[in-house]
Amino acid sequence: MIQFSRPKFARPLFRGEQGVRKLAAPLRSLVSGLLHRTTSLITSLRPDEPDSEGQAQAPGLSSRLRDRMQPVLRLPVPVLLAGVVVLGSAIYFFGVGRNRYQVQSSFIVRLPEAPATTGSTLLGTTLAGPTMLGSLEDGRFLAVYLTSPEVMKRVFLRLQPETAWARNLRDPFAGLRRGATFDEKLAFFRRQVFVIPQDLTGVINLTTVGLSPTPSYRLNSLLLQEAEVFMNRVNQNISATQQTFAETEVQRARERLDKASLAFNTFKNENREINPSQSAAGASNYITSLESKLVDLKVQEASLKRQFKDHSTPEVAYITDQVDELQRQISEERSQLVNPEGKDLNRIVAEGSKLETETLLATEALKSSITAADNSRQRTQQQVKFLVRLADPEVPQLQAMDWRWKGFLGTLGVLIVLWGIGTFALGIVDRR
Amino acid sequence: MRSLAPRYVLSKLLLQLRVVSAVARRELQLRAAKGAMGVVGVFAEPLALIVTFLALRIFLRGAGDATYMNPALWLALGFVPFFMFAEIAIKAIGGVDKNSELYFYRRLRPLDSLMGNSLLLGQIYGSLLLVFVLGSAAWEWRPVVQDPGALIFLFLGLALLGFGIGLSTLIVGRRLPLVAWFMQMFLRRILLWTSCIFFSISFIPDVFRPWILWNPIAHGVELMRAACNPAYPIPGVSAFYFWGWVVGSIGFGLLVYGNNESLLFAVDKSVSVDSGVDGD
Repeated sequence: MIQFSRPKFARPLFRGEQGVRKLAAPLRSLVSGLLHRTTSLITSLRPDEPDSEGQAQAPGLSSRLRDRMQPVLRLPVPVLLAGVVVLGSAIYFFGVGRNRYQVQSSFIVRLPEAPATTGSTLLGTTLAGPTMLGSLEDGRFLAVYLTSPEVMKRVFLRLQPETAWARNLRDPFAGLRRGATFDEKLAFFRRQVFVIPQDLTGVINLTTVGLSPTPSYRLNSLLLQEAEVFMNRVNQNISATQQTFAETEVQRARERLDKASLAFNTFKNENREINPSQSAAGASNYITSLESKLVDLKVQEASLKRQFKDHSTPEVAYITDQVDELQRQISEERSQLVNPEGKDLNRIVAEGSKLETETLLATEALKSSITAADNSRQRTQQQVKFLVRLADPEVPQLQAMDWRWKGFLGTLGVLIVLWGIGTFALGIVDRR
Repeated sequence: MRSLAPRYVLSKLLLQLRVVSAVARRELQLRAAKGAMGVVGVFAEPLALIVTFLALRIFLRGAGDATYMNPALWLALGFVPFFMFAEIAIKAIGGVDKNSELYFYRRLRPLDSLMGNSLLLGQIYGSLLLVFVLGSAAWEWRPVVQDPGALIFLFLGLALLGFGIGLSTLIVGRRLPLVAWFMQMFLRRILLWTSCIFFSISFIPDVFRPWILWNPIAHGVELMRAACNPAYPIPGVSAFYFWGWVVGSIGFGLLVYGNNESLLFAVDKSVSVDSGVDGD
């Protein structure tokens, strides 16, 4: 029979092994004691067949079991402990651990039409850029939102997690315990939902995990709906806020226009003018026509003065009188036009122009605010973003195995790290 | 059949483990005795090298995108495995001659010496990576590794890849010294710039990405980062390709070693690969 014990001349596995062995001696004796007691119990329950007619008694169960366990017990304690951990891990992850069912769906967030800024470009790949980045940005928002307490309350608690994800005696680690607090439920919910936006494509992968297929599928579907509602609700909320603001602006512009119109009308009534600018222009045209006539008469007068030696002749005097009268009239009209005691058209035109401009500005402001309010009203009602489903969720038929392998390999990895770092550290500490 | 009995195989494996551990411990003591800082230097020297590279990268070009993980951890996940890989491969190429006096003991073979060296380097760089992981976790006060099992096994895979490539190069380099010289230069210089240490594979344009993805270390490094955060984008990276390289390099190395072991006992001092001489 092959002896499995370590040879006496073999060097210890690591420097601190002697110390560990001393510490592990009680453990070894405890294990041996337990084994001995167990086999004794089995032996007492199933006594060996009594030998008949002096035949040699066959070895008992306890001794046989002890013999079979001897090679195991002779293993170095760290190896024994590591073996126990690996065995326990394998039993849990591949035997005891409850099935997990994963449901995955993929989607992308798109606008109804490509933004005008993208345009046509020589760089074909950049065409998809803004849309992809927009989807990625939405995906990052969704990764936070879909695991938020609000969504948990609205979606996860609706699925009655204490039943659908309930723990059972077989696997005490999986599931949500009965009477879990809100924080525990939130932490558990966050372990069941994974939202992963893909950088390069903008595709958002939504994965949900459940202890049975249907809850996992329902959770995924509800989260997809929640994502769609969220994106449009955010935009519609923004538009609604903008609409309220725009309506306030419309009201303000309307009041401003009313005020400006009233002031302008009052001013015109006070000055008995329908249109001061036109009155001023009319007065100016009148003086201009008088001046034109004056020039004609002066030319005529000069001509007559050359024809008649005596300037007091009736022909000349008649024209001269007309010239004098026209000059007086022009002078009087001019003085009345700008004189505060007269028509005072300069002031009236200046003030009238100011009031008219104010009225025009108020009209434009009202037009703009009415347009903005109308646009906001439309945006609050229309769907701004579309969640395009690339892969719909399906009810899983097979359990997910990745968590089992991840858990088992994680245990193995931790053991390897403990061994590697431990022997390295002991090698440093015990160096000579 | 006795030679395949589990107990026999297990006892032999444990014996082999003890031998390799003993060689690693001897190497640790030699390093500690040789270095100016003693045993602290064994750990501190590679740490200083990596921290210098990290500082250069961060101060010269910024730490990079912190969307997916702590930038220092992201950089450490590139530097630490790569330096471990390069050290293991280069030590394997040149480490047999240094331990030639050990082969007086019949139980010890050159392969044990190489495995001991690789184990020690794996322990040193594993400790360094653990420091970075735990430091990042303490800084952010949350677990920074989503899939620790994958991270550990990928790290071990990179160590095995270095060992396999070093072992293959060692044997081939005995017959063709130019290969050993070229591999040393290649490991230190070319691979440093093509192993996704300073950049993420997703930053590489589609046109050039397939060229980078020939390098299995780039796959290993990016997979390690993805093990920390599954959302980390790794377009074109394949675990199958990486493990194929690991198994292939180890298999090829052991195959050529088995057929050419006697070459390593006849130490030719004139062919010192470690000194960079390309042979006569």
